[in-house]
Amino acid sequence: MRRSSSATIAMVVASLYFIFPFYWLVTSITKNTSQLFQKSIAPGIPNHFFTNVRLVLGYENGVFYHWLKNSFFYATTGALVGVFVAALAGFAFRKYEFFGKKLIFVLILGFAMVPGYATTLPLFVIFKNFRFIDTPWAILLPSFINVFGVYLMVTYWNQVPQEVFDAAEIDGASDFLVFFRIGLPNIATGFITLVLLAFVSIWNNFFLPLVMLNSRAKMPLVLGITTITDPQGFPVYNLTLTASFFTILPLLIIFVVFQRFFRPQLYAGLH
Amino acid sequence: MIRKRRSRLALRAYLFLAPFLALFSFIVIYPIVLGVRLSLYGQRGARMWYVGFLNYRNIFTDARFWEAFKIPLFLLLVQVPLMIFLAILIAFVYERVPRKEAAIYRFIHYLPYTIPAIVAGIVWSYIFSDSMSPFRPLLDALGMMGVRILNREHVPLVLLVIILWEFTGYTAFVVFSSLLAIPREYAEQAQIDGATFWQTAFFIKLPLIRGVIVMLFIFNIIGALQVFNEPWMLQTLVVLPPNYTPAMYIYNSAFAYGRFTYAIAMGLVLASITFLISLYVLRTASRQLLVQR
Amino acid sequence: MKKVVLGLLVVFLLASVALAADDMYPEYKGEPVTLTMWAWTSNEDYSIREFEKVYPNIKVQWENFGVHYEKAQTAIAAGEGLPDVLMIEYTYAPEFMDLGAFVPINKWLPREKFVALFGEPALNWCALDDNIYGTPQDSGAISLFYRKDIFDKHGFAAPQTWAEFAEQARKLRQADPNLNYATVPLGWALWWAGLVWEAGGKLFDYKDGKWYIDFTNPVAEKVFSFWGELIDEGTIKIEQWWSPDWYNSLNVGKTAAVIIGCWFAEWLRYNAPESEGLWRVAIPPQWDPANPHNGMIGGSGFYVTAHSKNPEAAAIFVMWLNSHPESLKCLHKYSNLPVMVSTRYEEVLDEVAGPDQFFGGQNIVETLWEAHKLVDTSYVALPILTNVDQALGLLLQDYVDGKIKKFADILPMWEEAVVKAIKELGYDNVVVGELP
Repeated sequence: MRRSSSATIAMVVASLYFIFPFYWLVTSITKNTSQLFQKSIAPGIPNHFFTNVRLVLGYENGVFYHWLKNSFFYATTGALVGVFVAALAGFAFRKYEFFGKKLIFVLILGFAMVPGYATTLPLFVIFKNFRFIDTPWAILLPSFINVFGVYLMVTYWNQVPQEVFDAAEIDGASDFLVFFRIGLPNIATGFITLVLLAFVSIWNNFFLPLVMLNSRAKMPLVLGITTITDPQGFPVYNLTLTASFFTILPLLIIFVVFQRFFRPQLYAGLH
Repeated sequence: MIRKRRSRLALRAYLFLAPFLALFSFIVIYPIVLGVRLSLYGQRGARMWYVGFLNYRNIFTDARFWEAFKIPLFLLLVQVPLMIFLAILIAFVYERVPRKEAAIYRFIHYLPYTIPAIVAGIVWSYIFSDSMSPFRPLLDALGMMGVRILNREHVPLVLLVIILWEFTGYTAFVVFSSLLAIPREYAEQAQIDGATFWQTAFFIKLPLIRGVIVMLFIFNIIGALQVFNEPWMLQTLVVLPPNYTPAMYIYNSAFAYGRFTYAIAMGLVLASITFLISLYVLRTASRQLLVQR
Repeated sequence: MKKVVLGLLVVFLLASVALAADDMYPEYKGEPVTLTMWAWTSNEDYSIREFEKVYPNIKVQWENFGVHYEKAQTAIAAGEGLPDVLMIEYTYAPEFMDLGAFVPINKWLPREKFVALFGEPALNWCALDDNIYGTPQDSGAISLFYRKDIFDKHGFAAPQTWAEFAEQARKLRQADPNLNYATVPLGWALWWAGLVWEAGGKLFDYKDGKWYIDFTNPVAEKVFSFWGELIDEGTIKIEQWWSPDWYNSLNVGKTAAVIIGCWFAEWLRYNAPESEGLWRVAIPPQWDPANPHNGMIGGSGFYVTAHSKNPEAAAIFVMWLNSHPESLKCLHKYSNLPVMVSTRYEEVLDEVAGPDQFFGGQNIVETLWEAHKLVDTSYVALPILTNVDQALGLLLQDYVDGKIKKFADILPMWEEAVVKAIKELGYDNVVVGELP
C-alpha cells in the first residue's frame, strides 16, 4: 500500500487532533474530582472508574436508566420519521414539476434560518395551547423536521440516474412503488447517513427538552446528566463526565453497526 | 391532455411533500408568524404593549447587535471554506486508503460530533486552562512562560480549533456518503484514460457532487452566522461580552434580560441577513438542484 | 406549695410556647392538592415527606433541572407554565418580583410572622413594597475557608482584620511566589457586593418605589481600593472562579484561603475530596473588630409564583419547609445546607452541630452560625442583576487583559455601565448617587 502511505501519515496526525479530547474524556472517568483537576493526562491512580459508574447508575434510584430509555425513544423515532419525511419531500423535488416548486424550495431554507432561541417563546405558547408541554410530543414533533435532510435528499435523489426511474415507469409501477421499491434502495447510503446524523443531533439536543419538559423522569440523557449535582446544586464533574461517556457510547456502537452499510452504490436497472 | 397529466403529477408531488410541509408549517412557520406579531410589541415579564416597528428601529441603531457580526464574519471567511476544503480532502482519502483503515478514520473523525456541547465545554476548558493544559509545556518551551493561554484576543483562534474539530469529520462523512453514490464506471473510465487518483477526484468526482458541496456551504454559512455553543462554552475560562455573537446576544436578550420580543425581532433580522448572504449560493443551488425535466 | 405552683407555671409556660410554635403554621382547609416545585438543591424530598405527614392534603412534586432560569423566564413571558414554588437566588429574586412572577402571600404569612420566623433582614430577599413572596432557605454568610497546613507552615493564624489579611497575603507572596494567599473572582458581582456589605455598606437598594444606585460611596470605595492595591501590586490575583484552573488550585493546595459564602463547605467536600482534614473555617476578617459585621454571598429562597393555582397551600409549604425544625434538620442532614436564616435554627443547632471530619474535626456549624449572626443588615438587589454581573465581568476581563491599568478605576466604570443598562431597560424610577 505504498501509494497511500503519505495519506496515511496525514490521517494519523489529523486523527490525534480529533481523538485527543475523547481520550481525555475516557481517562477522566477513571478519576475522582481531585484527580480530575490535577495536571495529568494519564488515567487516575488509584482507579475510580467503578466507583464513578456505581454512583452514576445509582444516582436518584437509577434515574439514569429512565434517561437512557427516553433518549433512545426520542432519537430513534425522531431520526427515522424525520429522514423518511425528508426522503418523501426530496423525492417530490427530484421527480416532479409543480407550481411553486422553486419558491417552496427556497422558503423552507429561509424559514429554517430563524434561530431557534428567538422563537422559543412562541413555540412554547403553541405547545402550551396544544397541551404538549411536558409530553414526548414536545420533543418528537420538532425532531421530525430535518431541513438539512430535505436538501441532502434532493442531492441524493439527483444522483440516481434518470434511467432508473424511466425503467420503472415503463414497467408501469406507481409512484409510491417507485419510491419504496426502486427509489429507497438506491439512496440507502444517503438515508443511513442522514438517520445516523439526525440520531446524534436529536440525542444531543439539550435546549428544547430543557424548556419543554417539566419532569426529570422524561428527560433525555444529555439533559439529565447536567442535573447530576452535589446536594447544593453544583455539578460533580467526575460523575457528569462518567455519565456523558455512557451517553456517547450508544452513538459509537450505532456508528460501528451502520458503517457496514457503507459501500459503493449499485444501480438497480443500470446493471 | 398534457396539462391534465401535469396537474395530476403536481398533485402527487404535493402528496409527497405534504408530511414535511404540514410539520414544517406547524413547528417552524407558525411560531415564526406568531413571532413576527410579537416582535411588534414591547415586553416586560408577561406584560406586552404594541410598539409597531420600534424594536426594528432600535435594532438598526443598536451597535451591540452589529458589533456581534465580527466573529461570524471571521468564521464565514476562514472557517467555512477551510473546513469544507479539508473535509473534501479527507473524504477522498477515505476512498484512497484500504477500506478497513478508512473505516477506522471515519470512526475517529465522527467522535467529536457525538460529544454533547456541554461535555465538549468541560473538555476544551481543561485543554485551554493555564494550569493543566497539555500544551503548557510546549508554550513554556517556546518561551511563553506565564502567558495566559486564553485571553479575549485568542478566542477567535480557539473557536476555529474547536469548530474544525467538531464538524470537519461530520462534513467529510457527508461528502463521502455522496461519493459512494457515484457510479464506479465514471472513475474507472477516467483512470483508464490515464488520470491520477487526485485528478480523478477533483476533476471527475467533485463536479458530480457539487450539489452536496453547495448545500454544505449554505448550512455552514447558517452555522457561522448563528454560532453560539462554542463561544458560550469558553465562558468558563474567559469573560465574553453578552453580544459576542449575534446568537449569544439574542439568547441573552431573551433568557437573561427577559426581552423576548426584542430577541425575536433580532432573530428575524439575523435570519434575513443569513438569507441574503446565502441567496447567491442558493440561486446557483436551486438552479442546479432542481433540474428542469 | 409554692414550688408546685411554680412548677405548674413552668409547665403551662412550656405548653404555651409549644402551642405558639405550632400556631405559627396555619391549618390547611382547602381541597387536596399537588403542588409543583423547581429547585436545584438535591435533597428537598426528605423535608417534603415530613411536610406531607403534617399536611396530608398537600402533596409536593419536586423537580430538579440543574439551573432553571431559562425555563422560568420563558414561562413568565408566556404568562403560564411556572410551578407553584420556584427556587431563586436572593439577589435575582427582586427581578422576578419586579416582573410579576410571584404572588404575595401576606394573607398566610403576614409581616410579623415572617420577621418572627426569619428575621428582619430577610424581608429584603423575600419581599418588595410590603408584599411577601416567599421564604429564605439558606444563608450565604461570608466566611473564611483556609488551608491550615499552609497557614501553619508560614506561621499564620486566621486573620482578624483586613490589615492582617493584607499583611499575610504579602508575606506569602514573598515567601512562595507560586502560592496564592487568596484570589478574587473574575466577575461575580455578588462576591464584590458581599464584601462591601461585610464592610457595612452597599452598592444599591430599593425604597418606596425607587431604585437607588451608588457604587462610589465611601464604604464601597474603601473596599475596592483595599483590593485594588493588593491586585495592582500583584499580591492578589484575579481568577476565573469555578474554572478548571480554580478547581486545580483548590485541589493541589495552590490557594491558601477562600473568602466566600458559608455554603462553600459542602462544595469543598464534594469537589476537593482529597484535601480532607486540611481546611478550617473562620469568621471573615473585619474592618473594625470592635464592631464586627458580616454580609452574604449567595443564598436562595423559595417563592410562590403568580401561576400557582393554590397559593395558600404553596405559602404554607414554603413557610414550613424553611422554618420548621423537622425540615431544617433534614436539609442539614442530607444537604449540609446552612439553613441558618430561620430563627428556629437555634432549636436544631445542638443537634446538627458537631465535629466535622473534612474540616479536621472542627465544629464548623458553630463558626458558620457565628458568621451568620453578624449579618444584621441587608438591602434589595437591583432588578437587573444579570446586567450588573456581566458589566463587572467585562471590566475585570479588561483589567486582566491589560486594558485597564488601575483596579480602583473599575468601580465608577461599573456604576456607569449599570446605570446605562437600567435606563435602557426602561426604568425611570432610578436615583443615582445616593442610597436611602
